[in-house]
Amino acid sequence: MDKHRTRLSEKPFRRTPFIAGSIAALTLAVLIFAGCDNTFSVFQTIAQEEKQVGEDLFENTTVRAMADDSSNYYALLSQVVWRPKSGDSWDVLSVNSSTDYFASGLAGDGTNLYVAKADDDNVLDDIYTTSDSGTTWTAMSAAAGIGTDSFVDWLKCANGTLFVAVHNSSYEYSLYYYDGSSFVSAGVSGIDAALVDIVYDGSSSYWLISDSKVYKGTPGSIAADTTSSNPDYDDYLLGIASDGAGRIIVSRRDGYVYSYSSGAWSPITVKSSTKLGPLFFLALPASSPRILVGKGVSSFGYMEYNESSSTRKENGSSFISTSSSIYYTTMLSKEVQAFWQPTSDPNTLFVLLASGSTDSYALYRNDYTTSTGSWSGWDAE
Amino acid sequence: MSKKLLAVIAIIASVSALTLGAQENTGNSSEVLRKKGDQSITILAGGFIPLFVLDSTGALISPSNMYPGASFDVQYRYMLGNHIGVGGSISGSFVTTIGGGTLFFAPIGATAAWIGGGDPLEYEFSTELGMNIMRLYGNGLIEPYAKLGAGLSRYVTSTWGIGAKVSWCFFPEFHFGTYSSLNSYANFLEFSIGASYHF
Repeated sequence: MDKHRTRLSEKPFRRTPFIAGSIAALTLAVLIFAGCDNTFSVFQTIAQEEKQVGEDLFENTTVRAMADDSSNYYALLSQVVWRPKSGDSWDVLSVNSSTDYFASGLAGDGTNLYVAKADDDNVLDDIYTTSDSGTTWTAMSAAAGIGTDSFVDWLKCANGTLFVAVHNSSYEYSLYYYDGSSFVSAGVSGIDAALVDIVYDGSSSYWLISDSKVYKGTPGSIAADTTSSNPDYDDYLLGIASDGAGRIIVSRRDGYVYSYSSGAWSPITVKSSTKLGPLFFLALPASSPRILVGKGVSSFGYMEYNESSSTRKENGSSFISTSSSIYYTTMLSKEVQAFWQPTSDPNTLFVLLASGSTDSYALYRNDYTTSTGSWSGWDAE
Repeated sequence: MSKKLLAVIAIIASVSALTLGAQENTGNSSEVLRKKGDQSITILAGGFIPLFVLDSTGALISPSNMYPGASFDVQYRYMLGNHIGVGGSISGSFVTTIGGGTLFFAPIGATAAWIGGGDPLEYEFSTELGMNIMRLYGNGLIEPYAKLGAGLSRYVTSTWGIGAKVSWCFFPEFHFGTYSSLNSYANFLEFSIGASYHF
């Protein structure tokens, strides 16, 4: 009788750890599976990859700006490189009969090309312009108007006007523009925040951002925007874009894009608490225009935001990357410097990247096919 | 000559030197050394070759867009008898992709093996089942896996052996619901050389 009792009482002790262990293992397995992204396929992502073969010039570098004229594309590395629009081979551009130079800025308005040259200490030497694709160059005596203690941060042509953002050795930032005969102050001078970009709103005003403030006005009288609820915040502003029809958007490091339209600012949450980057209005396909937003976090690349449905797409799925594979193999871990479209070609889009430590390219192109209403996917230049 | 090829040649040369240079063995040719309760730890390193990938319908995904990579294994074995051993394995391996990506695997599993031969040469047939952590472009999946392998090793002392092993690796990935079309079944060949410590 005692033996029988003993056996009965032992059974639960033997089974309980087994059952508990099994339940724990099953729970762990379910949690593990549930924690995985059911929409992401490792092997089918790889199967969709395409080998990217680009110019060696764009490997392990940063493309900081682009421009074009009627016959060529130009890209700013430490020098300016170019290729014919009808060709595919890039080469260093000879500026004022020299290929031995450091370029600190590049801009173009579709006809005229502007290149800022700097000395070994990055101090502004001069800005040169050409209107015949580099056959003849004209020195613009920029240092005379801007000053000899000037470091060019960027050049930009907006609505046909050339702007020059500079800082001096005391890290005071200023914006100049070319009035047709000389470089003069655009209205913003000696501020302590780095200037980021300037755009034209398509109607009357130029919009400039520093990393902390929004400015607006016309060349010579650009001043701080005083509209209530604007995106001003110290060290928060990252990018600005214009739709050319009066609307301005500004990206911030807290995940908001501020939109200005009809005299008022309003915030859009693109991705909460996420540092953003450069912006671009993508007009095509016309049925679903999107905002391209660079990411400022370590995975870098960009997001696509559809305002009409308030949807955000990441990792290239279904949009202009055409597949996640193309996105991952071209954008991942690279910081977007800018999106750029040629002056009169909305069917072509370039993305300028800082490839940093990744062993890949810094300039990719995407073409829109009107008949199919789709983008081709990124392809290395 | 590529650095990878040089590295492979250096490893093979090192193992060959070890094999030829090993003057000591246990002396009793063909004697079965293993017995119940014996344990061993094996460290293996080698290549990892993509063979083929099937999609959810069983059709071949061609090309697989993967290039050969490398693998590293640590295995523990406990002998249940003279010829049967069980244990565990933790591995790390990678392959590169045509787009410049790197696919990492970290399988953790239970192993079972039949071991034949003896001193100095021992051979084995093994199977392995477990969970495989895969990571690509910052995305991770945890999936089951299976390996079937065969190996040959030589005792260089009574406690140390060196050898080589080849394994066929089956790495499936499963998706659910409307994404079940993403199911894929990948197959790799792992070949490695290594050393075992018996205790």
